[in-house]
Amino acid sequence: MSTTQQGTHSLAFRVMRLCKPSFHVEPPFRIDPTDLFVGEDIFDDPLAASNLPPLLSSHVSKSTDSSDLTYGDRFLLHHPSDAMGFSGLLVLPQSFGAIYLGETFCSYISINNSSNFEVRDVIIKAEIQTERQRILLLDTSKSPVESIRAGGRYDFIVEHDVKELGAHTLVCTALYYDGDGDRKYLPQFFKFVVANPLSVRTKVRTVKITWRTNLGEPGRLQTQQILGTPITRKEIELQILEIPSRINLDRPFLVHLNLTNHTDRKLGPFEVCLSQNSAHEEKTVMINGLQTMALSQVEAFGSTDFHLNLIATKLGVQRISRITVSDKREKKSYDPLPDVEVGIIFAGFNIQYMFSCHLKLVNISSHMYING
Amino acid sequence: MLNPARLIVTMDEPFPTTDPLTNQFGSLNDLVHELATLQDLATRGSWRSILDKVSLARSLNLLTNPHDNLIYLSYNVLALSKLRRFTDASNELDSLHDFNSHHYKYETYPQLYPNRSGSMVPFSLRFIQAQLRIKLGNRQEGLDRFYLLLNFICQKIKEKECNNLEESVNIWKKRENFVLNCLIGHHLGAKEFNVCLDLIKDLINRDYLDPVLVSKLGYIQMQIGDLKGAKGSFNRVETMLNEGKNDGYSFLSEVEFRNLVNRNKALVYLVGKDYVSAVREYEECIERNNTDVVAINNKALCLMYLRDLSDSIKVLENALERVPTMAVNEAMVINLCSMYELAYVNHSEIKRTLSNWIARVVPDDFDASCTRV
Repeated sequence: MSTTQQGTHSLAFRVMRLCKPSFHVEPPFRIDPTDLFVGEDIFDDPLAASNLPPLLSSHVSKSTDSSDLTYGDRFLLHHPSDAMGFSGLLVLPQSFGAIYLGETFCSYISINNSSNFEVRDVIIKAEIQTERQRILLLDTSKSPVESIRAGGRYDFIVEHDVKELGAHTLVCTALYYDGDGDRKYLPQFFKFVVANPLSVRTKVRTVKITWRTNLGEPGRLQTQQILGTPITRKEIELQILEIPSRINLDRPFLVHLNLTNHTDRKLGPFEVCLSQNSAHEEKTVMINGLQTMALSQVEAFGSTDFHLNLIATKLGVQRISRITVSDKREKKSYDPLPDVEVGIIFAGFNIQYMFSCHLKLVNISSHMYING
Repeated sequence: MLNPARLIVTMDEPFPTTDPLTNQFGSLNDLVHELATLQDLATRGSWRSILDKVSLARSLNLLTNPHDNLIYLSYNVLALSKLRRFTDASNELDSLHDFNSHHYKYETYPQLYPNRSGSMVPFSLRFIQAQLRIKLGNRQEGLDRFYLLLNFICQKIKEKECNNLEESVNIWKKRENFVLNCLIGHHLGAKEFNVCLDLIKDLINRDYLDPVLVSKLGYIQMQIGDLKGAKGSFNRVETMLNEGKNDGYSFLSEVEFRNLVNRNKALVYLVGKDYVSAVREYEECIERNNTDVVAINNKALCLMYLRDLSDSIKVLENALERVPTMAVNEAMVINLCSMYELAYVNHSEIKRTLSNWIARVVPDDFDASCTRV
């Protein structure tokens, strides 16, 4: 259908972000017929125990036979793990989703000829426009697409490493001869915003971070070099190496720590305690036993590992606050460690079936596994 | 053939009674009034017909025994749940008040169930009750119910073990396994991956060294980006296949096991963006078993990532035509509709055609909103 109206195009762009697909998860209402046909305690009866299983298994194998064209699989369990509703079937991304600095933007772009006439000599361009720059992703100027038939399509996939925050626009343009022989220009714009995935605080000159997210999609960031007045290195450094993933109320637990001596002389002996803050707030996580722990001297540039025996007196999210190390000989205390939040659970339940309270890193994206 | 239980009854009891559960085991209808019909309707996905049948049976007072009533109620609740009428299902369950009440124990009706004791509540009601809470949006309460159910099952197992009821112990252990699998699914849906990993590793470390379970561990590892862990899990599964460890796994046929290994390989290629090799693995699966819907669906997605949208659409359309009862699942239809939306400017028309075709084929519980028409 030809038209002299401006703005009526034979071509149109269709765009879909191609991040990795996800696994489909949907716990279903699928059951074992044993749990539907009879009472739950019927197998206590020896007669039922011997006679029911053959009846049930003959029935089940009949109805889940793959040559049987019924919907048995939507209702009966074929394998016990069918109850998870997680078969390895993949689904395409259903929305644009969030995109973060350091990731690769990938998109399927399809240019469709929805008119009844062929279009010719199509010059297609795809660019990313940000505040600072315009990056060319695709350009068919040197070899234009000769023709796209009526109802036809031309597809391409573009990729771009995202290196800037904020507003981005995918600009798709097509320059073509339409059915009337008119040279037409079609621009289409698809906007998205790039966010910061991590809040990074650095103590060294630069930090390089790599990660993998949904189905191993990689991302990487490197901070700028930190310039400015050099920061005096701490004499000693105390760090937490490991906290148990499950901490029970009123049950002692061990926190694994490391003390490192960054100086060129032997330091110590030391004492470690949980010091009070100025408000003298009641602590809900305390040292189990003697309130100060003695550590022997640490050699120049050496380190020592130790465990603090702690106990939590309240449920829920609590803090291990103000782990402080002091040098007994030089009679000075170092700055306490920042508070650490932990989840305290009730040990009355069968311990296998607890919710695990895990620490959340400062992490804005929905899920991420950090390498190294 | 004389039934010894019946003999005892007529000798000891003043009234001639029939234990409706002793003359069973020949067929489903011996267990429950017209159970075979109910079950047939359920496997066809004719849930609305089930609602009708239950309603009719109730109004005609055909359900004379407490166990008949309970099982008809179970089918009714299941049908309502399948039709996504979660509030109605929940209300019907609430009408039972307390599953542990003596009303639902065999020993309460010695005339009807002589020499039998214990709960006549079908176990699926307990599962459905927990699942409904989650479907109704009360996720925390639903999860709590599942965890409480696990504790309940643990008590039952201990009880049956003490009384040397071996068959019962096995059944209750199966139920424990089932509930753990449900929990993994729910935690997975909420992206609580650490809990999922703990639970699934726990299952695997028990007797359930099961290739399907180990594969699913691999999928979870993959989902969170732990590719090394995922490859390790898939290697374990392949080793199990090569060592012929299929005797214990009556769940998996030889073909299913081989396809599982191929599909796992395909996923590794897929995350490495080697879509060509992934397609090749999936094609091997499809050749072995042309109803392997996971392979068909995932192959179609790979084709799309290879810029071949036309073929990806053809693969899915072809599956729907060829094996509709297997292929017509909501996730695959969603994928096909996404592809239509990309391929056609006027995609509403083609989606409507798909939607109409589907409506003629699907079971009652199919969620047609997946076509986004």
